[in-house]
Amino acid sequence: MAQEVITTDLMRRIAAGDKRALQMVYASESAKMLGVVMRIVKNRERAEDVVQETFVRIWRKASMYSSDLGSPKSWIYAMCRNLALNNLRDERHIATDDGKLFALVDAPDNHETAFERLGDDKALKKCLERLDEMPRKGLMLAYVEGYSHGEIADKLNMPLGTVKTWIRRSLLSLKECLS
Amino acid sequence: MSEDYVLGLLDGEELRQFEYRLERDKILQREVAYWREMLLPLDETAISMTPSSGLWEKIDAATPVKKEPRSILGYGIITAIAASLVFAFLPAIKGILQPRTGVAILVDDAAKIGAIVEIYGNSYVKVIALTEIDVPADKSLQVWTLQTREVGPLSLGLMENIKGGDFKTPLMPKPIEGQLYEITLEPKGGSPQSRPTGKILYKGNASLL
Repeated sequence: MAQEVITTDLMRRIAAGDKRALQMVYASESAKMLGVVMRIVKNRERAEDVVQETFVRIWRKASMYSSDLGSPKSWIYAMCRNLALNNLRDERHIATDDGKLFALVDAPDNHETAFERLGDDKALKKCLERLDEMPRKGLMLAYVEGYSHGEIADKLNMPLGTVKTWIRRSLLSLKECLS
Repeated sequence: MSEDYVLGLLDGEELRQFEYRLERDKILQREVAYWREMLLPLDETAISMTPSSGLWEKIDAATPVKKEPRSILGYGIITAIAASLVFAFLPAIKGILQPRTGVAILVDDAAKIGAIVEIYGNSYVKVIALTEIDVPADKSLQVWTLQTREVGPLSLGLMENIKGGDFKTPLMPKPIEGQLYEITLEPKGGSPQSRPTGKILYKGNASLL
């Protein structure tokens, strides 16, 4: 198993103002992060802006990291996803304000490939496989591509209430299975 | 609600209120941490994409050094200012003010010398091709270095001119003895991943001066 680059010690170094430690995170994670953000915002230029903003936040907020918040890697990726979702929400507002139709473009790397690429040895894969196909699809559309309940309902051509129930039940089932 | 938050399904006022509570509530923080950890493998399935070559410079410019970690550099803030000034003018003075600190001779499979890499500190290398490199129209030459397996290969950039080129390397830790440099033949525009995917044409290890 590859050694994890992003350690608690590395976070401490960043918090102390060590730019080289930030560079190590960049060298190790920027390409993967860009892939994660692209699945959500689906626009290269905006995705790079999000990755840039993520590193600025890591630099500023590393001192706020503690192990209570999970592993450093999950903390960093959560920050990256949240910024990508903010970017997506901003874009939705602009599109609505302009009266334009928000175009949902299917990218080659999406919720379906994410499921396929999950290692068979991962507990998450086994637990996701236990869900019915449509509820699983709803859950993956939310996490991997950042779709809202309403967008998922449109995409799956199902009532909003049904989608909300699916996702709630899927999460409960996932929690039970993973624990 | 933690799981909805981690999935990204909260919005507007609901999101704002949740984040307000999250900052203050340790139990909520642990719940959120649990879900983040559980779902992280999904992020790891994303296909890596090489960021544009200037992205690190933008991040570097937007993250001013708060205080110099003495244990790493040991020179204090004056050095940091001086170093940043040198870096700011690097395009104009590259290689002139910085002494050459190392060299790597790159050879092909048959041990024939193909190129020389001159190393100038940790911010600049010069590649000089010593042989004519045949590059098909749909391919590009890409220069890489590998310092440690933990960090993995780092792209120095595309070699636009087959005779060689200058590469700013702001990402680099200080080069170490034996550091690997290589030139690969990649799809036009560079490797689609953050590591080489094409044939290694020439490779060699650094000898520091």
